[in-house]
Amino acid sequence: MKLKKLAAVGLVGVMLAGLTACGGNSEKANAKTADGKERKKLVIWSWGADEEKKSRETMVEAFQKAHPEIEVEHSVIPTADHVWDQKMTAALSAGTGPDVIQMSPDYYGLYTEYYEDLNPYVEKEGVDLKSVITEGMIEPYYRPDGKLEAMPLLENVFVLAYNKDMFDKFGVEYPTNDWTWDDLAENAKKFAGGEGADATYGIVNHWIDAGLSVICKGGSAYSDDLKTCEVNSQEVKDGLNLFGDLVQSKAMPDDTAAKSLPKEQLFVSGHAAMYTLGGFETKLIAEEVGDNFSWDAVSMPKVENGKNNLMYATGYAMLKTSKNKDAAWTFLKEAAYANEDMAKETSKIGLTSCKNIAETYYKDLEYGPIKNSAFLDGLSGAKLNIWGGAFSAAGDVYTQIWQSVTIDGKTAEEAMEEYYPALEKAFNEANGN
Amino acid sequence: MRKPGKQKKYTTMKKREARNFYIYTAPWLIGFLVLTLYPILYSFYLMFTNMNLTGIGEFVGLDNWKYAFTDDTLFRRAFLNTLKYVFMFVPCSIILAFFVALLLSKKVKGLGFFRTAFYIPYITSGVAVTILWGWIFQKDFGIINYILSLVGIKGPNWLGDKNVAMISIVILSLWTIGNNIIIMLAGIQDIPQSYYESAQIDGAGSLRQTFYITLPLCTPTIYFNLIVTVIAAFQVFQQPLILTNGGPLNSTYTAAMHLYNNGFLYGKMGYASMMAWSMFAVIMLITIVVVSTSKFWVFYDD
Amino acid sequence: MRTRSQKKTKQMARILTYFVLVIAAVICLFPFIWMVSTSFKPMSDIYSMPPTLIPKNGTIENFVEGWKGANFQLYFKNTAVITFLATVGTVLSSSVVAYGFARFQSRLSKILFMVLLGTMMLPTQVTLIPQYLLYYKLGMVDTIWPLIIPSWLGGGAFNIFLFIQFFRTLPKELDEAAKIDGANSLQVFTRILLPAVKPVMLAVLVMALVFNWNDFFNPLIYLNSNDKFTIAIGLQFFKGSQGNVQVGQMMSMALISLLPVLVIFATCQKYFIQGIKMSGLKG
Repeated sequence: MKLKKLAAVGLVGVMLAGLTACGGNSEKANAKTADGKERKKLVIWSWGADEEKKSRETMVEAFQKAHPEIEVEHSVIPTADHVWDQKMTAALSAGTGPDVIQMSPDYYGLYTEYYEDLNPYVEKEGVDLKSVITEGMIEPYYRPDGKLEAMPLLENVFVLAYNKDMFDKFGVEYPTNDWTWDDLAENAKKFAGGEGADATYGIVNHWIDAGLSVICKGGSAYSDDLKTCEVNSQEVKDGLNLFGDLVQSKAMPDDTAAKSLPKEQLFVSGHAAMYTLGGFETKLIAEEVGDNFSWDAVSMPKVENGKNNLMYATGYAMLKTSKNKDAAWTFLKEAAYANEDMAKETSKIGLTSCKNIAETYYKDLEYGPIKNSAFLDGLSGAKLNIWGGAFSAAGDVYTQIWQSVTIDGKTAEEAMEEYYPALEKAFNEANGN
Repeated sequence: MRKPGKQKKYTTMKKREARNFYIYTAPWLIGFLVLTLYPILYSFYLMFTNMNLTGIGEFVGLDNWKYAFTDDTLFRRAFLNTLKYVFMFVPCSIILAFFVALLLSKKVKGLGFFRTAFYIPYITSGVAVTILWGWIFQKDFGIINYILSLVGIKGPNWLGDKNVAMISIVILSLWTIGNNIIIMLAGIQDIPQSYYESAQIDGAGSLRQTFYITLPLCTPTIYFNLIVTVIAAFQVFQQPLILTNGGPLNSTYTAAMHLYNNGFLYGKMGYASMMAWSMFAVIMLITIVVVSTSKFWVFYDD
Repeated sequence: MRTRSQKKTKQMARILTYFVLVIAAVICLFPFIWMVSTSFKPMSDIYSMPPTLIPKNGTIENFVEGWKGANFQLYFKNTAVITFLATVGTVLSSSVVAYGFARFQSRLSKILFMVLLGTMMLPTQVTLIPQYLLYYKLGMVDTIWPLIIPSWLGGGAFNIFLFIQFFRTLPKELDEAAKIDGANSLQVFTRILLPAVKPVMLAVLVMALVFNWNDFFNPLIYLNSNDKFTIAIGLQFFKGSQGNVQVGQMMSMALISLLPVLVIFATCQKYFIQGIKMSGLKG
């Protein structure tokens, strides 16, 4: 009897020992090639899905081809619903991240502690970044204290796509590059009508709208040094009211909170006349629209004395824990500007930071009626995504203001009065005040 | 400490029983001590710090709690929403699971088909099907409202109306209770057939058999389902995240989402730990209430 | 007269039972059927108005493109290995541990039981980082071990609790009788108690199988290399960072990925019926 019990305990023990022993992870910084030369290992983490994933993979393949002496280990991790943030938080705070990690300048310093300052590398390289990087694309990566926390890869801005057939059918004149937001609102209302499956709208509700409401009347969320919150202004309230009016008049659907349909579906199915089209999805939308209707795009409506577009940018940072910083820098600089093959792969899904390619190869790409040059033009008026990273707590409060106006039918003044104190508090907290 | 043994035989038996207890529970004990205990203690400590993402933080005492109960309006909101969800979802899921399992335990034709049908939602529960549900709930073009419109009813804005959104989340969750059904079914099937046979001889109809045999003998299973469903429901996260992201107007913003946002998006790990432990406290409280009432309504064979 | 009306009510009850079952089955199956239908539709038809169940321009392109879109063949293999090891571990270890809790007592057993329940109540997100660090120090990050070891160490409080609950419904006289016949505690467990809770074992098996097959969170955190990823991660590759979703491809791959589980369940559920017969003998 005793023997069997002992055997049972032993079995459990052996099982455990076996499990733990097999876990040994042979992690070596360097591996040897066949001819005995040391190959430096470089671990890169990117995010992405679908076309984005393919583009990252082919870009890194192009890098590997150019640098056989570096052994690249590239992982693409899905990103929707913040899944990337979970993985990243675990790896970074445990100090076990890769050498190079994708990041976005709109994190506003959230992870900056983990990133190596790149200024010394740029100095050593002796390159004038402004002459090799697409205009306006390096600036967001400098922290207010001067630290260069990453190098750019690409960015995307928006154009206003419209369904010509719907405009003809409703007898509305096509949008022009000179439209203001008031023109847009006025014309969008002409499409409102129908019930259920027959419903038609002037413009699709889009996750970018809350951000646009900040700037569309010339407002701003905070000062350029990121220190002062400026949301509680007449301009922002006017912007909010403009969108509130669009929803109340049924020119825009009122389920702004629901993630029920992929947002572009209303446009490609001919139920909404206009769509804020991002540079990252041109190919996809062009395929989906196909020959169903004729369409075109103009630049985003004008804003007097202010930015009229929002940009989503992403780049790569070097982690302080990296074991191969030279190889990491080689990758960062080539992904940003110094490797045209890589830039061409990136161009498939966005405006590359490599100035040469952006102004030639990228500019000439066309998907359906949309020319990529439109995105290049939109860049100068674009502001970096407002409520990312460190500001996402403040951004979530702004979402409440936004939903109060668009869903609850409150005026911007009422909503601002209710939520602004919380927003300001969250903003100051992000600034460490 | 130990009192000198008066009945030696009794204590050796006790000793042997204790030894058996540790031998058989060893896998879990080892796992708990090696893999779970330290993270739990660590997060308990974090609760009293203002730790951020970079692992920098200092001891702040009860500041996190103070902030939660005074300045953070979302804290209360998130808990109230979660309670609302729990009180809608748990009773419905228990009753529904028992009812369906009861029907499945009858000798019906196509039993295999029905069992598989009821379990399919549980198997398919993932990102893909949640996206599908988003469309099913869509107010203009969704399938539910389309079917309603065929019979002349204008359906609600399922996910866009702050008064309806939480109900939609509950409906989606109810759809995936295949697990509860399976457990209920196992419980019902564990009831010896002889009980029913003797009841039949006594002339009890099937309704009476349900109430006097199935239901009481199934109470350990119901008890189990109740506890684990409450615990799981309190941590509801994925459905509101994917369908509404907590909106509209925070009407589906749950405690787990608040924990998640603070920890992983705002980088406030200390505050997130406080959030986790306050959830723990509430869940524990409810569980204790359930456990303490169990002796009045749960029947074991021994 | 009486027997006739009884027969009639019995028949009515039968019809009612079927009616309810069929309605419920339709509700349960509907999104699944829609998933099947969507995976055969081209993108332009997926959100067509009014909705059509039978694809008008049926295509298998979603399957072809989806399969190529990510390395699903490899993901299937990876997922199968993890699921197999983790499921076996869960069934074995949770039943053993539950036997300890249900049949033996020590001074700490009550407290430990509360601790066991307590581990279910603390949201996992909050222990994620220290746990990750632990596995890293054990050299197990980017291996499948963090996904399997917990299954062999109790297999989760839920499953242990479930087994405890069912062991407790079995009269202790069964154990006593076996002991008098000379069985030791392990034999009592393997020969008397386990056979008596076969339906529960199957339930735990199926649930562990589904859980591990669909688990997204743990593989995402612990696996780094793309060639170690699982199906659940692969499905996320159809959902872009800017809100675009390849719905058709996602549905087609989700459909393929759930087929193995579906087949296993459909086969297993027969043995639930056998479970009934055994319970009948037992009483």
